Amino acid sequence: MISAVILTGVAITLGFAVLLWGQSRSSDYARNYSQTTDAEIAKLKEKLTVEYVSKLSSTSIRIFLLNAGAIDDTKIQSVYVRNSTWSWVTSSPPSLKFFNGTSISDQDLDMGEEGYVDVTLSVALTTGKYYSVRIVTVRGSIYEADFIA
Amino acid sequence: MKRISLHRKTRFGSSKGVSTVIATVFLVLTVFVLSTNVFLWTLSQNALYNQAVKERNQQDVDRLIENVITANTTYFVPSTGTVNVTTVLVNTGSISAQIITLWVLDATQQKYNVTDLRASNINLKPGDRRLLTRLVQIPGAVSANVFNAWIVTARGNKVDLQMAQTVIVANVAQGIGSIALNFYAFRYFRYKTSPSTQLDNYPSGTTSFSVPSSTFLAFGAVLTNFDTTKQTITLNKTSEVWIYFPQAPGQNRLWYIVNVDSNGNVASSYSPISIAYGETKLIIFASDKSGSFSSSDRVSIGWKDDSCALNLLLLGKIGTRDYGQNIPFTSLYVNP
Repeated sequence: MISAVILTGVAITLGFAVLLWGQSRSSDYARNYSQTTDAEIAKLKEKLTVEYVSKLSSTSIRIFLLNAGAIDDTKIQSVYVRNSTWSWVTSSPPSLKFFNGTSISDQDLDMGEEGYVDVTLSVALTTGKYYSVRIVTVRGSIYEADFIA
Repeated sequence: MKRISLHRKTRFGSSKGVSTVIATVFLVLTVFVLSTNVFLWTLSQNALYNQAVKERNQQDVDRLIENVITANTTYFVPSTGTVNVTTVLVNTGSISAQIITLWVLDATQQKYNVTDLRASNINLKPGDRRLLTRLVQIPGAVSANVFNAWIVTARGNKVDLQMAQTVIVANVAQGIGSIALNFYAFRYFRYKTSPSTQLDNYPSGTTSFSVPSSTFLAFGAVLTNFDTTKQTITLNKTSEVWIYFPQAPGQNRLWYIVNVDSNGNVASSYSPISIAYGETKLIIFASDKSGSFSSSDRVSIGWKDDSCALNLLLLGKIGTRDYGQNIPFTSLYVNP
């Protein structure tokens, strides 16, 4: 009789322990899933438009951008410049400025906001050649535009 | 006695299995509760994601069906470094569109200007048509340069500004000169009673090829500079309108070019009028004297009930060179 009570108690205790452990694991899973979903949703809402790419000099370009998406705080992670034979990427996020030249304090583009980034390359662009720029945001979206140097 | 003992054994044996039953129930409940929670949570998250996908698809569809077109774009350079861009915007799509930015590129110099249009509230409902005119600064821009322009909508679409369709007219006009006359906009003006040097109903006038005989008249010609070298044409004081009657040799009249203010007042002296490449201007011919005007210089046709030929005799400069062009082909009937 006593052993039965003890076994029952152990079974209940173990049952609660398993329930709590399982709850903890499922919470972790839910949190991770939620973060992944939120990140994917934010990425879906992002939309950058390259309005114009201007060659400032043989080694620098200016990329004019518009946040045409449905989410604020779009940050630029990196900019790739490439053609058929080579590719170059910024080593750090480029500085965002408004079209009037003033720096954007939060370094991101909110919905409907326009700004530009200046990119200085380590190699010279060949005048008249066709190049492609690839803009990668912090959320992982990729936007491309072409220009002729 | 044996029956009682068996009964007890059976009861004690069953109580020993309670823990197993409870543990099983717990296990089943745990699995059920956790899996249900995870399943429902996953469903809700998937629903959120699907909603985001739907919204994104809707935005993409809106972006694709947004259709703003432009027409009759002209680039007029009133002074070096200043470009007057004029275009007609038409929303031929089924959703409204907001124009937020105008880009003008001087392709000759590879210089550009960007203008924020948000403050202008250029919002086009489906079917809306709107004239957009902006003065933009591009250092060093002159009328001979090649310009391109485009607008950007709030949805991120870029629309190139299409040049004037009347370039076909320009090709025709090139055969007879750099200035084209808009026949459909040819008009005449009467004068007001007081002041007698003010044109009545200016600038509309009367668009007709039948004119009164005994009334003082002025003529208005809508001219466009289609010079292929894209230079500005300046008309001097000897430019005139000349009419003659084939049935009555010797019967002819002329009206010299004049300056007119926005109220229709004809200036007493003439300052040369410039027409930049691509620019269209209403030019008024009113005076009996070259370079000056007063009420006594008003001209009436006099001859009546007859048809006459009208010629524009245009003289001046194109760029730095002399220029002269005669634009014929307009016919008038002078009422009885």
